[in-house]
This record gives sequence, structure tokens and C-alpha cells, in this order.
Amino acid sequence: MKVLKSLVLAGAVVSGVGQAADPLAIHGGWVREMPPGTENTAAYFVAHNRSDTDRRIVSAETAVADKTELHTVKHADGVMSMVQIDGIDVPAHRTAEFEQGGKHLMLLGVAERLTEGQTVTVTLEYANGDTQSVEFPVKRGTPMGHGQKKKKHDH
Amino acid sequence: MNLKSVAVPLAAVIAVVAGWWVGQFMPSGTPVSERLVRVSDSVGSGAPELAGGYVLHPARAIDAFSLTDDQTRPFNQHSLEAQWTFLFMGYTYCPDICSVTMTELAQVHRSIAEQGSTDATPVRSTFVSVDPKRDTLDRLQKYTAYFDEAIGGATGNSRQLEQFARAVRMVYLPAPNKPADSNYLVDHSAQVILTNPKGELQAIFGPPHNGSVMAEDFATIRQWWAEQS
Repeated sequence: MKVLKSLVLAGAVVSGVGQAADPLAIHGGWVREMPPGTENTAAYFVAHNRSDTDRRIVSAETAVADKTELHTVKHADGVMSMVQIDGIDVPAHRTAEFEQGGKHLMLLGVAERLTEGQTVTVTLEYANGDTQSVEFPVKRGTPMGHGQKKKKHDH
Repeated sequence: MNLKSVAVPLAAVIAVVAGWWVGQFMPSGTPVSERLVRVSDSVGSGAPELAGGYVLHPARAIDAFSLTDDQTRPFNQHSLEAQWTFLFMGYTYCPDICSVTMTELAQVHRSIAEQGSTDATPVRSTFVSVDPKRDTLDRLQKYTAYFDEAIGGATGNSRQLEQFARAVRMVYLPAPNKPADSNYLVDHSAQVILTNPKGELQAIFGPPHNGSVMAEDFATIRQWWAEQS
């Protein structure tokens, strides 16, 4: 298992090499470096659908986590709740963003701490059964205004 | 900014839900209004306006509470005196919002250090874990130190956390005794509270947080505070 995990971390296996066109173009993906002693982390990316076919991401998995879930953060009256969702639509010629404090992949039960410099292979599954493997670098989170997208503060 | 435009978001901002969300225990459809504590107080005139939060003027006293910090020392209302303290409730199993907020708090401390104020009053942050079942003090110490040395951790049992939450005007709902899944999530808000060197509730910062903006707001508050004293 450990050997397999290393291989997966190195991105040497399970990537969809040789497949025809990937369902979506995935850009800017990263996995949050884990503080010491923690088991969970999150992954973020931007998915571009350049095809004429609507796509829906229904699940994701990675060998480094026991479980990977799709989550979003809901804002209501100043209260934020993390809510599991059962899929994310990426309509034809549209883009879906997975970003900090918004939609994200939640990696639960990561046995070995992920640190900057590592790479994690994540397999996305679509509503039609297609899968797509992508490699995300592990990065330390950076504050807003320091490379990440800046959100406008509304009063 | 008229009073009405402030009062409504303020009531929402002050109300913090540390509700434990585990599917069947707390359906996500629970109306937020039922979980809010609305305060009749509102922002008084004469307080500076902030870019990322609200100043409470006059500052609000904080009732007695009793937690333990990650150095196993008592953490209570007196711990907040003679320093500025940013307080944030969360839990280390929270992989998105809590980490985002902690990263911004670390930026707050870096930016404040860069401001080079002559004021020697320490500026600290305390991350209060609402998940004492899993967040041991040792775990909290490692977690908070990862973000910044100015950030410490504290927690307590559910009764103590409830007492703390009331003291700082938040809501705390205890965890289920037997969560259905060991990877249970905690539903919590992401507000950050600032207490002044008298140990009073002085400002509230709502999400999304921007550490650089919060540090500028802090400089505004610190200067205003100095002029008042």
C-alpha cells in the first residue's frame, strides 16, 4: 500500500495517459498543504468545458485520502456552513471554479501529511461515467491579495 | 453608513453558529434565523469605519469564561487584558474555511509587524476549538504554530465552550455524543472578534477575511483607541 501510495504521489500511474480528449480542461489545481497532525485537506481548481456537451462532476477520489467529497460553503445572514453536494455542473463552453471558501474537493482521512512539493493524483468522475485523472501540486495556502483571487467585500 | 444599514448585518455577524452539523443531527435546512442571537446593541456614533468589519462603540464587556490554552494554562477573560486579541472559533478537522481564516490571521500578524508601531501592547490571536473531542491541546499547539507564532489555541468542555461563546456573544451548540461518522464536520461561522487591552469586545470582522485589510483596520482601531485613552 505504501509503495502504491508513493507511486500515486509521484504521479507515475493511474493518470489517463493515452485517452482521447479529456472531458474538461483543468487548470490551476492545487491541494492545500496540511498543518502538522491533521488528517483533512482541500483541493481547488478551475474546470473549463470547451466542448458542446454539458458535463457534471459527480465524485472525485484520490489514493491519498480515505474519502473525497464535493463541498460548497453556503453563506446565509453572515453564517457560513460547509455543505456536501452531490455534483457540480460544468455546462458546455462554461467554467466552474473550485476556490477557497467556495466549492472545493474535501480530502478526508489523509494518512500521511501532504506537504508542499508533493503531487496528488485526483480522479474526477462525471455523470456519464467518464473519468479523468489530474495531478495537483501540494501548496501552502497564501493569503488573499498575495497571489490568490481577491474577493470584493460587500457591506 | 446609517444605523439601519449597520444593525442588520451586525446582528448577523455577531451571531455565530458553532452548530454541529452531522446530517441527521442538524438538517442543513434549519432556518438560520432560529440559530441567531440578535443583540439590541448597535454601533454607536464616533467609531471609525472599517473596510472589513465593524467597531463596537462602546466596547462590550466580556463575561467570565474558563478555557485552557495550548500551553495548558488557564485561558479566561483576564487572559485578554493588556493585549489586543483576535478570537476565532473553528476546529482543526475543518480543511477549507478554518485554514483560510488562519492563513489570513497569520497575514494580519505579519502586516501589523510591518506597520512598525511604537505601541508595545502585544497583539495575539487565539483559535478556540469547538471540537474538544478531537482537538487535544497538543494538536491545537501544532496546528496554530504552523500558521504563526502569534496564534495560539484554546478549548474546553462543551459547558465551558458554551460559556465562552455566550461571553463573546456567539452561539455554541454542543456536539453529538456519538457522531455517525468519525469524519464529522462542524458547522461554524467564520467571524473574527477583536478584543481591546481592557479585555472588552471591540470589533468584529466578517468573511471573507483579507489579512492585509484587517491589519489596516487594526491600525485604525489602535490609533482611535490611543486617542480615546
